[in-house]
Amino acid sequence: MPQISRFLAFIFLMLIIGCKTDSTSSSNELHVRIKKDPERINPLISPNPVSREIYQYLHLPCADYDPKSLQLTPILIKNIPSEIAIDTGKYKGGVAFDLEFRDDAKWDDGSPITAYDYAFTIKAINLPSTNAAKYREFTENIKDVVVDANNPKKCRVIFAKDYLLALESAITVEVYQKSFYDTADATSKYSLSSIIDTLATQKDSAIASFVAAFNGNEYSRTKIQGSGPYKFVSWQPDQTVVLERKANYWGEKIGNTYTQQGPSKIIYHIIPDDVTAFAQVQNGTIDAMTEMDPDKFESMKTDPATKDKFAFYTPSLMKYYMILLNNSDPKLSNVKVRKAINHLVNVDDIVKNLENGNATRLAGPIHPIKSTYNKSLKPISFDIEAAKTLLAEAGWKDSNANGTVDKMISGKLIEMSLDMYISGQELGKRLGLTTKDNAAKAGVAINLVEKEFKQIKTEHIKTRQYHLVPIVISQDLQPWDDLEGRWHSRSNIPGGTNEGAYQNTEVDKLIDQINVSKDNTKRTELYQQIQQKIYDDCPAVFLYAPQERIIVSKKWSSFATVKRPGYLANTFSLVAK
Amino acid sequence: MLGLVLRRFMMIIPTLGVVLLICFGLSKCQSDNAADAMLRLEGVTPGNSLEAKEYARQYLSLGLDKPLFYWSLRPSFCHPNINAIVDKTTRQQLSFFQHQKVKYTDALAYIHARDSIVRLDTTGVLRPLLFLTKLDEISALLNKEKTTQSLVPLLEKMQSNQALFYYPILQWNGSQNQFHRYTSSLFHGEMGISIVDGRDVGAKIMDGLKWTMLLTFLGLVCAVLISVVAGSISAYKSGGTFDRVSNIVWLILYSIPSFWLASILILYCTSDRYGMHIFPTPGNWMIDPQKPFLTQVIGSAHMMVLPIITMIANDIAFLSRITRNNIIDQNKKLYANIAKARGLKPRKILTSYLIPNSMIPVTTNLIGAIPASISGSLIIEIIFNIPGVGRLMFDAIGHSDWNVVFGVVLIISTVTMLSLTFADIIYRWLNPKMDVDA
Repeated sequence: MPQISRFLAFIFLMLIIGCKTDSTSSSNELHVRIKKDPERINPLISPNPVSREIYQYLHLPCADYDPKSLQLTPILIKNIPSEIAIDTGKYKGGVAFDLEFRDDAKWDDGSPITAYDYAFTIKAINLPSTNAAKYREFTENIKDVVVDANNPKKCRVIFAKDYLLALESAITVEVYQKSFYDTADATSKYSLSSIIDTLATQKDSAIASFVAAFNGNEYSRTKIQGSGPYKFVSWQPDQTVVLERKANYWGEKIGNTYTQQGPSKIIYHIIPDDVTAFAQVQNGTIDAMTEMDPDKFESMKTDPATKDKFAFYTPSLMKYYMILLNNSDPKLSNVKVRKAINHLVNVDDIVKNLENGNATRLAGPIHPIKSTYNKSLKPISFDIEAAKTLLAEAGWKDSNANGTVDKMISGKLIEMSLDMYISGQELGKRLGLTTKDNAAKAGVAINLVEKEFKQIKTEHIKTRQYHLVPIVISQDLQPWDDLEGRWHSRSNIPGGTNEGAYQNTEVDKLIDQINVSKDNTKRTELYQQIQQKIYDDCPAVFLYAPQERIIVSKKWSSFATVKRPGYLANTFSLVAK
Repeated sequence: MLGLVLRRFMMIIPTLGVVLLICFGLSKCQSDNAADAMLRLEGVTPGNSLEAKEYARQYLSLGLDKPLFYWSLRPSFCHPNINAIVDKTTRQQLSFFQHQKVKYTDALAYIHARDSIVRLDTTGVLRPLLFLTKLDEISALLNKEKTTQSLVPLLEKMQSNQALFYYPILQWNGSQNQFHRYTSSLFHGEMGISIVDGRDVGAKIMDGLKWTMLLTFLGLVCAVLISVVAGSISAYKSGGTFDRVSNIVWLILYSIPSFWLASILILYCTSDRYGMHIFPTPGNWMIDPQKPFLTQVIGSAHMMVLPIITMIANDIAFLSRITRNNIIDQNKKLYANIAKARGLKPRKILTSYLIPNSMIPVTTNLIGAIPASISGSLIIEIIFNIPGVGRLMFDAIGHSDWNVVFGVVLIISTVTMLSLTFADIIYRWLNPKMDVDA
C-alpha cells in the first residue's frame, strides 16, 4: 500500500528531526536549574526565594551579610554605620545612622549612586499603596532620610524610636535608581513623612501613576535594572531567565563578593520536574542545581558516572522544623505532658531516614548556626519509658484499660487522643506515622488528619483548634531574632503568630528586655535565658535544622554558603583544564 | 445541518455561564481568598505588623467587600453582607456565631466589647476568650473570670436572641457584586490580571494555549495515522502474527501510565548513561517569542517528539483496536460479501469500502478525545517542561490565581463544546441518516 509507505516515511522523518541531541553549554555560560518561575523580578514587591536567587545579581543593597563570615559587610556604602542616639528635638529617644555611598558606585547609565536614590527607595517602600509591604514593616520605623546638602553621597537615616533591627532595616534594603523608576519625578515633592499620608498621596495623580507603574508588570518583567554585577537580558515565562555580565562594571575591582563577576552569562532553566532536571544534569546541560532529592543526591555522590563531575555541598538552610503544640488545649496545658510528647518523637530516626543524616538537631527556637543559640541545651531524647512516667506523673493513666491513658478534667473522663494535622509534605507524613506508632506504645492516641496546609492554617492553627501540627520556621541571617512574634503572650491573639498559645510572663519580660538592650553580650545572655525557659516549658517539639543539597559542575570553581540559595553564581569561575 | 450547527452554538453560551458560575462558587469555597494570595506574593508573612492593614488594602482593591452575586438568600438573623466586614478575624468569628443562629448585631456587639476588654488586660488570662466562639465555652470562661462581667449581659443577649425560628430573606444586591465585576470585564474582553505576575490573563492563556493546541493537534494526527494503518493491517490479516503481536503491544501501551512512560523515555532516550542519547533533554526550550510562531515550532520540533509519543501511546492502542474491530465487523456485512463475490481484490475492498465505513466511530472517538487530550496534557507539560495551558492551570490553582483559573476553564470548556459540536457535524456528514440529537 503506497499510503503505508508514505506514512512510514513521515514517521521516519519525524524521528530524524527528533534525533537531535543536546548541544553542550558554551564555555563561560552558567546553566542553573530553578524549580519555579520567579513570577516577578523586583525585590521590593516580590521577595520570593526563587526571585531572590536571580535578583541578587541585579540589585544590590547598601550592605549584606558576608557569605562566609556572616557579618554585615558594606556594598554600596563605604562603612557599616554606627548607631547615633538622638537626645534632642523631634525625634528625641530615637536613633540615626549616617550612610556614605561609595564614590565609584554607578548606575548602568554612568550616573552615580547617591543618597537621593536611597531616599527614593525608602519613599517607594513606605508609600502605602505600593506592594512593598514586606519591607514596609521594617522601613516604616524610618521617619526621615536627610541628604547632605553639600554631598549627595551622604545622608542621615532617622528612626523615631530605638529598634532592635534598626541598623539592618536601614542598610539591607536594595537601592533603586530614582531616575529609572520615577521618570516623572512624582516623589520628589514629598518628604518621607508626608508621603505616607494616604489622603495627600491618594489625590495626587502623579503618585497614582507612579504606584501603578511601580506595582505593574513592566518593572517586574521587562524593565529590570539595578546596580548589581549582571544585567537582565530576557525572560521566557516558565522557561528561561538570562542574565549577562556587565561590561566595565564599577564593582569588579573592589574586592567585594557581591560585586564580583564570574560567568559571562547566567542562564536559569525553569524545570519543575526532578526527572527532567536530573537528565539535564547528567547530560551536562545544567551546571548547578539546588533542592536535590536526598536519595538522588547520595547516589550521585557515589555513582562513578557523576561523583567526579560534580561538587556536592550541604550548607545549612536557615530554617528549622518543629511540631507546634497547642499549649492552650487542656490536654497539653501540663508541661509534663508536653515533655512526654517530646520524648515520643524519634527525631534521630527522621534525620537518618529522611535527610540521610544531613541535618542538625536543635533544642530551642534559635537556629543552631547562630551565636545566640544556647549550646548547653541538649535535644530531648526519644524515650518511651520516660514519656510513660511523665504522663503518669501528670495524672494520665489508663483507668478504663482501653490502651489509651485518660484523666478526669472538669468532671469528664478525657482520653489522651490528639489530632495531628499534616499536609502532603513527606516530612509531615513520615513524622506523623512514626510518632503515631511510638505514641501508641505510651498510651497516647494520635489521629493523623491530612489537609492542605493553607486549610490547616486557617481552620485550625489560627483558631487554636488543633493539638499538633508540624511546621517550618524560616529565619534570616541577622544575629538578633525577633522572638516576640512566636513566643510573647502579646502575640497570642487571633491572627497573631504565637500559634502555640505559649504564655510565660518571665519569657515576656526577657523578650522585652532584648528589645531595649544595647549591650551585645547582655543581649546574647538574654537569648540564652529565653531558650532555657522555653526548653523547660517544652511548648513545642523542636526537630532539626535541615541542610541544603547542592551540586555544581566541577568545571566551575565554587563554594557553598548558608546564604540562600547556598552558592553565589557571580563568584564562579571556569577551572582551567 | 445548519439547524444543527445553530442549535449547538446556542447551547454554548448558557453552558459557559453555568461553568463560570460553578468555578466562581468553588473559588469562594476556598479557605483563603485573593487578598491572602496577594499578601503571600508580597512576602507578607503572618506576624508582619502591617498584615491587617495590608490585607484590608488588598481586600478592598480586589472588590472582595462586595456581595458575591446579584441576589442572596439568607436567614433573617444573618448579616446582609458579611463580606463588608474587612477584618478577617471578625468576619470569621461572626460566621461561627451565625452558625449557632446568633443574631449578627448581638454577635458584633459582643466581639467589639470583648476585644476592647482583652486589649486592656495585661495578665494574658483573658486571651483564650479571643478564640472562643462556642456560646457554652464562652459562658464557662466568663463564669470563671470575674474581670469580664461586663460581657455577661452581651453573652446573655446572644443566647436569648438565638433564632429558634427564622425566615429566609431574598436580598437583591444589584450589579455591585463580585460575580458581576468579573463577568462584566470578561464581556469587555478583559480576563483581568494574573495576581502572580501582573500579566494580562488573556495573553498568558494564549501563550500557553498555542503550545497545548499544537501538541494536541500533532498528537491526534499521529495517533490517527498510526492507529488506522495498524488497525487496518491487523484486520486485513486478522489472527495473523502482526495481529497477535500488535494486540499485546497495544495492551501494554494502554496499561502504561503516561507519567511513567514519560519518565522512562527521558531517562533512557535523552541521556548518555544508557547509550541512547538520541533525543534532546526536555526542558531546554529556548523559544524566542519575537520570532513568528511557525519559526518557533520548527525550531523546537525536535523537542516535541517525546511528548507526542507519550501523549499518543494510550490513544494509539485504543483507536487501533476500534479500527480493527470495526473493519472486521464491516467485513461481515452483506455489501462486503457482494464485493468479494464480484471478484474485487481484498485490498481494494479494504481501502475503498471497509476503512471509510469504519471511520465513523473512530472519528467520533477521536474528536471526543480532544478535550481529554488537552486535560491530559497537564502531566506531559509538567514533565517535559512545556509552557502549555495545563501547566499554567496547575500553577494558577496553587497560587489561588482565580482570574487565570477562570480563564483557562472557560477556554477549555469552549474548546470542548466546539469539539463536540464538530464531532456531531462530522458524524452527520459521514452518515446523514444518523440523528445526532437523539
